Amino acid sequence: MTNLLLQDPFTVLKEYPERLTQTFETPLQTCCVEFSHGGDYLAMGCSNGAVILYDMDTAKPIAMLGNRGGGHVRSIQSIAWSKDDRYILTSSRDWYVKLWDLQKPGVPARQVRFESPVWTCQWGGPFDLGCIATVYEEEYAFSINLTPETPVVAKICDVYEYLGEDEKESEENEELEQQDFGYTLVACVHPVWKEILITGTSKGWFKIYRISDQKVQLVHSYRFAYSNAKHMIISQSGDRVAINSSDRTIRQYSLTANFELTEFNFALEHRYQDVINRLQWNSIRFSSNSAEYLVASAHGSSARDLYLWETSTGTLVRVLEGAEEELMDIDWDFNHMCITSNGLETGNVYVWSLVIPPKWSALAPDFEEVEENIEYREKEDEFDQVGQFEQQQELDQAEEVKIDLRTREKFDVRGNEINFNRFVIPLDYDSILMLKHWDK
Amino acid sequence: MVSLPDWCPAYNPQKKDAETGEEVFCICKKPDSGELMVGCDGCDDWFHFSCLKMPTKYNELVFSFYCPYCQAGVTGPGATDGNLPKTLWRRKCRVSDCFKPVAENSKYCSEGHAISYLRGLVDRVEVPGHEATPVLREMLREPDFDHFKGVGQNGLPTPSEQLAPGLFSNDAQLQELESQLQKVRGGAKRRVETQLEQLAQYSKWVHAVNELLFGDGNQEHAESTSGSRSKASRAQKRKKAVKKKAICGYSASLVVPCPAEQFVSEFKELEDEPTELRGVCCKLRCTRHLDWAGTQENGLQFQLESLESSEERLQLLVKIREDQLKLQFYKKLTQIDTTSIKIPLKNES
Amino acid sequence: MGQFQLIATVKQSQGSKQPFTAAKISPNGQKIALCNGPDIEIYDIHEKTSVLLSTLHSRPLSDLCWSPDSQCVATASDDFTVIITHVAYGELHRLVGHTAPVTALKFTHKGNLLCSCSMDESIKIWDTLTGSLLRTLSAHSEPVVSIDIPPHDASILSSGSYDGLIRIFDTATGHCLKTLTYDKDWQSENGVVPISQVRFSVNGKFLLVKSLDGILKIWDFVRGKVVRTFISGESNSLRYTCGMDFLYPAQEADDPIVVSGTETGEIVCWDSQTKQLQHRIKRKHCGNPVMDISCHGSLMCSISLCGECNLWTWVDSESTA
Repeated sequence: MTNLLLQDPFTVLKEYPERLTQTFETPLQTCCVEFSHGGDYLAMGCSNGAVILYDMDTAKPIAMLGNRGGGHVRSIQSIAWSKDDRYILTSSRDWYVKLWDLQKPGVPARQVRFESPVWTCQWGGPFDLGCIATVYEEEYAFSINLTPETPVVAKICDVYEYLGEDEKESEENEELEQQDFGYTLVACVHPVWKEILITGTSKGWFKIYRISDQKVQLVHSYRFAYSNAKHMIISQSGDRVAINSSDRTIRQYSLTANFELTEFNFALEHRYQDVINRLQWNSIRFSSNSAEYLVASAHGSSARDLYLWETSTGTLVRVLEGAEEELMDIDWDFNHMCITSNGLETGNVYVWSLVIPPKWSALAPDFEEVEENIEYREKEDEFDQVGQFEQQQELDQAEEVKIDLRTREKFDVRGNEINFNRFVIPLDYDSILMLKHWDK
Repeated sequence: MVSLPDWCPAYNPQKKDAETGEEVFCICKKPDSGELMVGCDGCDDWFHFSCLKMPTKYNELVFSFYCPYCQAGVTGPGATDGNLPKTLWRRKCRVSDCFKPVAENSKYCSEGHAISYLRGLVDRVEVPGHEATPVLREMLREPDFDHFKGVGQNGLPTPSEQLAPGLFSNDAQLQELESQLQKVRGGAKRRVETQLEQLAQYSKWVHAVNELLFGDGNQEHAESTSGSRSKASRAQKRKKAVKKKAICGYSASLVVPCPAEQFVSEFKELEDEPTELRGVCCKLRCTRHLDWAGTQENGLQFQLESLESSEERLQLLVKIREDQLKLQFYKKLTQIDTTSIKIPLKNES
Repeated sequence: MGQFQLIATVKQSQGSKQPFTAAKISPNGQKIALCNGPDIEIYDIHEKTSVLLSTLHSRPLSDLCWSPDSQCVATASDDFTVIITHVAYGELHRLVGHTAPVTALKFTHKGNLLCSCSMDESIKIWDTLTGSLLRTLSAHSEPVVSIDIPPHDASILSSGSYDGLIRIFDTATGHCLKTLTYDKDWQSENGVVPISQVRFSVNGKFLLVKSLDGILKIWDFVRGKVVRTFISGESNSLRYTCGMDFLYPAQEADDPIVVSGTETGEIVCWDSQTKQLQHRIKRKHCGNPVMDISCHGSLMCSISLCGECNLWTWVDSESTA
């Protein structure tokens, strides 16, 4: 992202996008959106089960998951990219969780069928290649080991939760057994403490599990509300959690734990509500790193914008306008600093980004752009005669400073990691040839 | 409006030299000096080949000539009706230095020239290390004239195994494509079809069970939907129609556990309405498994369609790859550094 | 110190048939593609054989570029067009839009974009999948003869033109981000010195620039400063844009080598850190301009105007001793 070093630093370092810059009019009704971690691609999940990958450089679709067989056939519920952007997990109302290897996006690499629609699927859990899924009317989340050809599914619940009624009464686990937590609807693996899983239930509980390959332990539970959990997000730094529930409120907590990860504490920071229209929130997202901003889309036909709050003060700082309809899912690409969201009615996908104006002085390096006229004043040394010898010496000195042509920069100016090679989706030569020979 | 060429002076109606009284012609307005001239079909004036920048060797090729003034509509028919005439030419013989017009139904002026043209063409074919004629014969091995005329229309002709041993069979890429194609054509499609059949059979059984359990209410619905065209929509409609009173019927295995009658009697024996019997979900209003049959059918059908399009795609890729190999083969034949390879030809033996 | 050892002669001199302008090692290091009139010759480094891929170009090629997956070759032709040819399946796209001979080409590391520059003074960015033109950058006043994109970062592209300017563009918007000029620090008598080639370092932080006076410079382009200068001692105004490249020896500790071809048929190598001359190859390409230099790992491929193409490997002097 060397371009950021050469652009106006004040614009580059703005912390959230400002203007609607792009609209993807897709032929299919998009119902969820997800940027790859590098921001090179945008995956759109559609209501008929199609998942289309767009190349953000060309703004054109470059792949469709499962177009050689084995695609989803009902609405997509969630999409998750692996850290290196090579794999994608999708969950759908057709009861399947599918893993896609983008080296061969035409067919799923692994798939698991549940007995009812799947809400969400996210990377993580005790396995090298594994994920956590939440399923319709299921009390517990599932962990899936995707390494074997036929993936292995296991319920994520504490051994005590497994006990029968009688045993529970007799044992000292009374306090646990007392609670009816409801169905598990959302689950997030903690970004820093990888063995910690936080789930949200239909009765308004947070449950924190500690998962190792030997056992699952419920280490903490906390009631945040008396209603359904709709979305849960955790900041990249891991100390901030937000939960969107059907009581029309987004609650933002600061999450702390002791060193051994046995005790946790949720401290409520802010509650975001639409006090005038009392709208529900459709989707929520944090900004990068320590999550200084939170963006949300509102439910209802009167809502057409994305709302962006500063998380430290809880104040609304920006309304992202431009879409002429209710917005659903949201994703935030931190590398290119853009936010995307899909419209409910048209299924179009909107993108808001930073607009960096051209720097005309870059074309002529001897010129300088000035805001207003400046009276010319000769500088002290402006016309000093510099001896040719001294000038040469200066140039020679510059050529003695050590240069490093090999090592890549670790972070871009916005603090995103850039020094590893992200997966590049191979060009679909077959489709080029098919199109080219179509009329022959 | 067609304008006069730059080299052509404006029209001058003068027909006789004012001083000598001699008759003058052409755009140059000079008397006839015996130089080759052509008569205009529009204004009946005569024109020098050289003045009109026409090579004299085109003499025999003129079909109907119109001078620049007639073509521009200054004189001749174009001046009155506005339809500007154009000079028409006869088709020239294909032999490059022959400027005779072609004979009827031919591309040559004479049979002699036809033979010499084709001979020239054959002579131009260079196959280093070989005599060109047998190689050409090899390429055009079809004796049939109609086939000969079609050469090149369906891409390059495939060289014989003798001329290009292992051209296709030694190419890894082509072999890979062929084996993929075999896989699609072989088991994959049949497997999906079997699954579809199994699903249909099981759905039928669930329907029968529901019929027996809540028969009367559902009879009319079944009739009203029997006319719908597509299978998928019928399945969906049926689900909707029986939604009021029917067991869910979902089972993970999709295997009919026992005859419908037996299942129904077992079901009725149980005191409370069971939620599950023999692995079959018996809930009456089951939101969990909602639309299980439709979803699975769509999934399988989607797979079938994908396999069909895969077949089409692979066939095309095979053809493109074959064409590419042929092209490379013929291209290589004309390359100088392949002279060391001796290609056995059947005519040599 | 180190030096190049000849490992193969890819192609003998072709007499005076037609000019040979480019030869590039494929990104997977297995093949070499070279311009052969309007066609592409693909040489297999291990098999030591070559295949001719025909194109539908009507005029000879100026440059070619491998796609990052080593499956395709894009060709820049004097017939104003660019053709992308798949090595196994033949032509994929013909890109029409330039109004003068196309001079150079470069794929981004993702292979989804292809950039071309032309004598028509413009740079064009194409979508490889659809073959459509995405944008045209017109910011030079003379033919643009070279472009490059950092190996892992497609956000910028650099161009070198006969107008003496080196520009850095934002790939996504097409805006010019920076201009590096020669005439500021290198006052030539006839004004500007045309640029003949630009090449980013592997980390994308530095830019190696060669001009038609035979001088090479490494720029710290973000700061706009020259940090190294290499002089091969050629005449001041050359006719041909002779090739050059960075070579990265296998040992991480070894400094990269700057390899440059000359109009007199020599190949000159310097240590990029110390500017010390490492090797000067005189015995091949005798008298024929070295039109292209392409490095991959410790391999280097050179081609001269007459078609002589050689493959070399870099050997550390310690290991040879």
